[in-house]
Amino acid sequence: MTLLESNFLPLFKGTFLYTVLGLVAIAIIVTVILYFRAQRMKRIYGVMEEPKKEFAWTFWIMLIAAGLAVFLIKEGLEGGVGMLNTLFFAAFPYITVAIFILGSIYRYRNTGFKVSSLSTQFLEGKQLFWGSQPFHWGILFLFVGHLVAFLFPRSVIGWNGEPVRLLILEISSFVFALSALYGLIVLIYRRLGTRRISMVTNKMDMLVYVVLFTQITSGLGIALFARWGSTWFASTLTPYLRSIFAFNPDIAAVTAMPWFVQVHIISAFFIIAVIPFSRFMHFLVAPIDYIWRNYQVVVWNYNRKLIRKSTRHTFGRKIKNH
Amino acid sequence: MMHIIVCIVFRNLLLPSNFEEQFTLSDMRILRLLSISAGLILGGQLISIPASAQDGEALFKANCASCHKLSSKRLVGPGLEGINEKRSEEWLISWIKDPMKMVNDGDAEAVAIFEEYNKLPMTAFGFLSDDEIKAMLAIIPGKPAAAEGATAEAEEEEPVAPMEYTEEDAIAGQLLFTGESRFVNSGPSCVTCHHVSFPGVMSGGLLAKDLTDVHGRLLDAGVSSIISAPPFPAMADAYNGKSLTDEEVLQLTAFFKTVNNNSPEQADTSSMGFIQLLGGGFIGLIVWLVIIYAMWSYRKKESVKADIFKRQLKGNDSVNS
Repeated sequence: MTLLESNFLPLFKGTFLYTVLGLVAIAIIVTVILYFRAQRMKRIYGVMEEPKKEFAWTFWIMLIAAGLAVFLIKEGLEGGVGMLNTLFFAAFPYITVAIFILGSIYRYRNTGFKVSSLSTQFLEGKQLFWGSQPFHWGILFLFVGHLVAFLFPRSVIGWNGEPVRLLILEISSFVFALSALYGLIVLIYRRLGTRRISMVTNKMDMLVYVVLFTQITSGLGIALFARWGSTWFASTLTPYLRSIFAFNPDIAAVTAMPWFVQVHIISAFFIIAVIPFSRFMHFLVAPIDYIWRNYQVVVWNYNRKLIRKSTRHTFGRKIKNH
Repeated sequence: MMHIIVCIVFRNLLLPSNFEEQFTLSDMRILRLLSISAGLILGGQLISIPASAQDGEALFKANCASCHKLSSKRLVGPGLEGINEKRSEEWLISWIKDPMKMVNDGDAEAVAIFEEYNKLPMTAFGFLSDDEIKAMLAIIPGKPAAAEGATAEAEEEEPVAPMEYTEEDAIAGQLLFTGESRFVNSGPSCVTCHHVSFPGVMSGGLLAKDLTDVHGRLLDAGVSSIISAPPFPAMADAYNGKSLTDEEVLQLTAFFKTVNNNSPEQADTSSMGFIQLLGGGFIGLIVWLVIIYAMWSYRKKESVKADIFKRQLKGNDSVNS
């Protein structure tokens, strides 16, 4: 009788514990290696004045953590652990919305001028074009599609009545999702591979990428493996979302969904929660009026003579009219 | 909860921004309010109110009645008369919450039932609380003592009247299944969640069970009772207030019978949907990328000084390599 077959340690059954132990072991080994490498670098080159910003590690670690979280959520929900269903589908939405509202107000009031997604177009424009266009058009169409299915479920069900129309809707949504995924991968590659951009990157950006990656891949999984989601979203998930907005959550239908649908829902609410603390903040300040506003002529009214004569030098800062 | 959120929003938006002390104070208040409301929400979920007998009847109707009768007669599953005497309450509760787990764990009685009903699994009702299940069990009548021997004969005496349908009903059912004709109460079409392999029907959804041989397993009574009052939570939600008319139920049952009769010589068509989605998706992606890249190709992709910068960097890799 081996340890695996015994009832002595029920946790040793299944791969879960081994996964966790393996990850912890890898993390410890990596930390030790990095520590000694840093010590050696310090001995050879002395203390560096400017920290070298590298985000590839952050990204991969976060991606693995997200995978682990998805695995845990799947196991927990399928195993019917405690009140996980109530927690994720009845309480979590309200928690995230509360965080979103309070966090947004906090960020507006405290760092109002930083409410943006910190454009890097000046630093790198070519890859941005190839990635940002397909990503944003794809994700915008998907967002509008979800919104329409939420607001006008009957019209969506009616449109899908004809099999050809259902196919058109499903395939075009699939195209938008693929386009968003392609754009996202290009953007991740760009941000991790360009040194100029890494100077204005922070860890929340990596989180944004990981969350979006989870969201888009789980959405693609739904389209493929739980297909014709456009109609069953309108008929089963719209009542659930409406019950949330009516402050009377009805989670029976969501509980019975496959795990990747549940992951898609949970990660969508997670996105709402991190809006105020990440570059997602640009949802709230999207310059929609740019679409119809006129051209603007920008003229810097710097006084060249004053600048030349100025004695107010600050390191790393351009002198302006003072 | 709604009032609290609205209050928080308005309070914060209306407060003057230079009022620092007031701001921190109100922040504290908001946090306190929010924690209280979050506590209320969570607490409300945790407190379970014991269900009454009336609830038991309603719950039975909503969850069980489409497969089980309160008499000893078999519908889809066995009749439940006298079940409280036959099995212990703990056994029933764990069976109702997750039948397949008991079968897989090798409970002898559970395996016997599973085998008896052609390995047709019962729906798991994990979302019902113990109290709710007890309330439902309370309304199930006990077995009449005198009728022990007579039950078998009684079953033979009154067989369920067979449903009568024609070819046209089956064709109408196919149109309803694919959604080409709408349900009267505007419910969603079956094909969005279910697949059947049948010529002329597109490959259906994968969210729920493949219904190609459903009529062979459940027969008229089972199919029609599940369609008219779905015991599955997602399906029940989808047809909540949009239930099918008796005629539609009849037509769909007829269609399922045709599909089942046709199934031996019919190849499985469910992989067609993958080909359509993946093929259409990748072709569409290329077309879509060409469109958006062409549409915005006039965009300036490099900074104004990019050319100057490149010229300066020629032969000097240490600057920005």
